[in-house]
Amino acid sequence: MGSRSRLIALRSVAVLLPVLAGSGAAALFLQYSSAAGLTVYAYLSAALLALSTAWLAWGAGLSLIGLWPARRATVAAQPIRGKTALLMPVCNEDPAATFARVAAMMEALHDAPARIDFAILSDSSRPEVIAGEAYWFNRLMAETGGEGRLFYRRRSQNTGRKAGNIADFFRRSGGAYDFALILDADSLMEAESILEMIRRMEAEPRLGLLQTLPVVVRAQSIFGRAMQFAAGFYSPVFARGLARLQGAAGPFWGHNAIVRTAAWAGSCGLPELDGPPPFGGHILSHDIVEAALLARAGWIVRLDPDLGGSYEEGPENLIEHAKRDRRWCQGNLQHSRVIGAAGLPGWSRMSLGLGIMAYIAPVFWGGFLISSLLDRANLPPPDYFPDPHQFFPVFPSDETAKAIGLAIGIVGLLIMPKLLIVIEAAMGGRLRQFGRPASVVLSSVLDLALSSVIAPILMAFQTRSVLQVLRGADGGWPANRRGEARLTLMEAFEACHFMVTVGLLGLVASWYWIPALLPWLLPVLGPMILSPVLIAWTSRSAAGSAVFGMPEERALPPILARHDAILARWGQTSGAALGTGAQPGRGTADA
Amino acid sequence: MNIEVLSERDAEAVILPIPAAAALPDAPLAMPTQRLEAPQALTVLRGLFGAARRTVNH
Repeated sequence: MGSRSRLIALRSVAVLLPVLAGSGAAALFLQYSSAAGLTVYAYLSAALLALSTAWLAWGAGLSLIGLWPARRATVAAQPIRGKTALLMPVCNEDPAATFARVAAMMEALHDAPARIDFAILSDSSRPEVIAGEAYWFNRLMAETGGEGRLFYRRRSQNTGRKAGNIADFFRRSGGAYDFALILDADSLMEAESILEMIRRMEAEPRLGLLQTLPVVVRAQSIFGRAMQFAAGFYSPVFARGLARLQGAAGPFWGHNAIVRTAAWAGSCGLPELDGPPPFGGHILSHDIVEAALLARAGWIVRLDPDLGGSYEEGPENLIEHAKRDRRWCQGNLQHSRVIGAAGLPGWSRMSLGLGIMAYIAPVFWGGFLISSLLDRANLPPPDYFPDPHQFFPVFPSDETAKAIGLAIGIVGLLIMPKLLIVIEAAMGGRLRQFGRPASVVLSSVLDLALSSVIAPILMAFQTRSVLQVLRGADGGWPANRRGEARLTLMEAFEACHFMVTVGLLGLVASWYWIPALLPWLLPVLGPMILSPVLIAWTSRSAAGSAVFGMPEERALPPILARHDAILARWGQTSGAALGTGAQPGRGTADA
Repeated sequence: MNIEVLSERDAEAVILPIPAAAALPDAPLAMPTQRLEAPQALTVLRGLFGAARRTVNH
């Protein structure tokens, strides 16, 4: 089978599986509901269930497609000819932690057989951060002797935010480089990975963008470590599935990716959308749009999940996660303005649509629950004697088995991918990198339990975000606070009291009107009511635990060790006033 | 963030000058703005939900 035929076959399977699963779930639900009589709410519930199940099946399909290991696509170690700029956009980050990352990568690439410059692109506005950046830049320059290959530029206006920051670099200096490695303020990459990326770009002249799969590192809280484990253990398989499906119209996740400067400059000048935010103005989730624009111009956009040595950090508690998600939600819903743009490849439109669906799906689940309750509450009383002349009563047929079958099917779609990935990791030897098999299995079970408990909380946050965006509320671009994980019960309550209220109202209403459904609703309402406790508890430190262990904790990657050593050195010799508060092994950044 | 907050005047006093050699290379590259037409359906959707703007922060 040729590569194009294989791509068509894979995409057909990936699309058909959700269609079949969604239709099957809706049919089962209608059969179950018909026993007591079909109301308009039953049809609405069936439609919402079909969409929600299809979304779950899409994820399951992605994991199935990614189960088979890929061959490592190395290219011959040709001498590197092109010139590369490593771009580190920053905006009010801890300068010591951020600049130490640049120092670590400069050190690692010191003897590299390639011309690589480093540009720190600052959008910072806080006076103390600007002062810190100036101090640490001078220190960095003095320590590395980086004159001529280390640059710093600060914009007084952060027009277009991160995308505008990068575009400003291309407009001013892009002509000096063949490639640009775009990072985030919390990114770290091994020297060999950077060189391999440049080689792959040089080996394929049609390649416009090459994305790596960054591994989340240095999480310390219960929530952060669980997310880190899930991303490290499961994501490689999902990413392989995504890479196989997307082909040449691959993803861009905004950082830890290399681009061809000519392709980027020619294709990725983002317009400002007319009208006010949240749907107008600057494009918030710019990365997926830039990937689509590159593909539209005929450039290959590729995700190579086999490229290792690519790291980032993640949010340490649910509130920080929800803040970031609010921004992504607004950005992805804004893509409804872009999805119809002329000339985009079909699969790029699909990617934009899937990004929107990622935030609409929780609303569908919430809608399904509400609609199902309304359905039960509006059912006519059973008529045991539809014929007035009959002697014996007619009981409605018992369709409980269909409801149980439906529940098993949906839970199966949730669990099956993770179970298959555990088996894949065990058979392929990947599991051992995460620790003892028993610890990894325990981590997987706890991840499943934790993700089930926090799913209703995330659903509530996402539903609120979607409703806010649809109402026209602009969430702005609040900075993440990654160094401060621990939350008090009161801080957690302040952020989630709305879902406590909704959960309690739901509990009282269902207990009063439809007590029979209470056991089915408790797994959703319970976590919502207890959300302050869960959010505060999962923000507690779990550093050093064997549960949710990562390969990077068993053997610290060289680039992380370099970063730690530099931070330790800088912390010993400088005061705390200019941003040396960051501890080794702990970063605080997000551009 | 672990950065101690300085007053603007304090910050100005401690800001070190950035060396001239740190300026980005002068090598402009044209980056034309791309066209991304908005579909009409969105206008209808926005109309349905109103257009009141507020800023929300968690």
